[in-house]
Amino acid sequence: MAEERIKPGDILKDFLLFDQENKEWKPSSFKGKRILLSFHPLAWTSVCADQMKCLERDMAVFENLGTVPVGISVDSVPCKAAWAKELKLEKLKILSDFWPHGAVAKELGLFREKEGFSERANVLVDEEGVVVFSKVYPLSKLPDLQEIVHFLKELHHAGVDGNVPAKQCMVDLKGNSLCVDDSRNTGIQSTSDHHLGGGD
Amino acid sequence: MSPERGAPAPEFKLEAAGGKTYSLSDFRGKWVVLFFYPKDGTKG
Repeated sequence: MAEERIKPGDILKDFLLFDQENKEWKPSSFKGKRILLSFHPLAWTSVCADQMKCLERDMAVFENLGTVPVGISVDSVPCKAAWAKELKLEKLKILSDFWPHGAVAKELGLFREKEGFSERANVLVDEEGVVVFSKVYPLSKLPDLQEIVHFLKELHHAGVDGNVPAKQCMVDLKGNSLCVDDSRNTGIQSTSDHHLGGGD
Repeated sequence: MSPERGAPAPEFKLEAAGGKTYSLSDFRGKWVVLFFYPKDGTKG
């Protein structure tokens, strides 16, 4: 039975996966940081490669926003190692959700049983382990990282100003919902701001 | 269950690197060696 898809407000349970260097990786190792779990279907495919290269390119941006991004797919560690080399990844960790097959993706309700791989999805978790953003993308579509960077900046400003509690930043200053995915209506829809809608 | 000597090999279909799909029956009339290995990108 598939788990319910993870959504803003949910707590991310800790898990243990191995990265491309066969080193342990756990969300709980990153106390005080936000984490961006970037799920993709399979290594060695074009959209997935671009998704990982964009994360690698923006590592410094994420770092400045107190966020650790990671790639996750069902491919094995040796496969991830070869792919990381091919993509010339230097900073980004890409995690192997290989065995039990897709266990983390399943736990988050992001596993596609028919194909045996995960959705293409971004899940952003705050310092407390609370999901603040989640979005599932069409398999053929490269995720819009700028949307997430923008969202993180809003969180950042909210935190600095102290006006808006971080967990209520699922709605931006214009009242547009920032936490939407393409399968679920969160109630508030963007009508004016084409940068933040996410309803594609 | 492991394959039994003397029994016909079960038919299967798998997609290969490059995207082409092969069936065991595509090789009827030839000897076929099925070489299983644990993982790509390893020495094993």
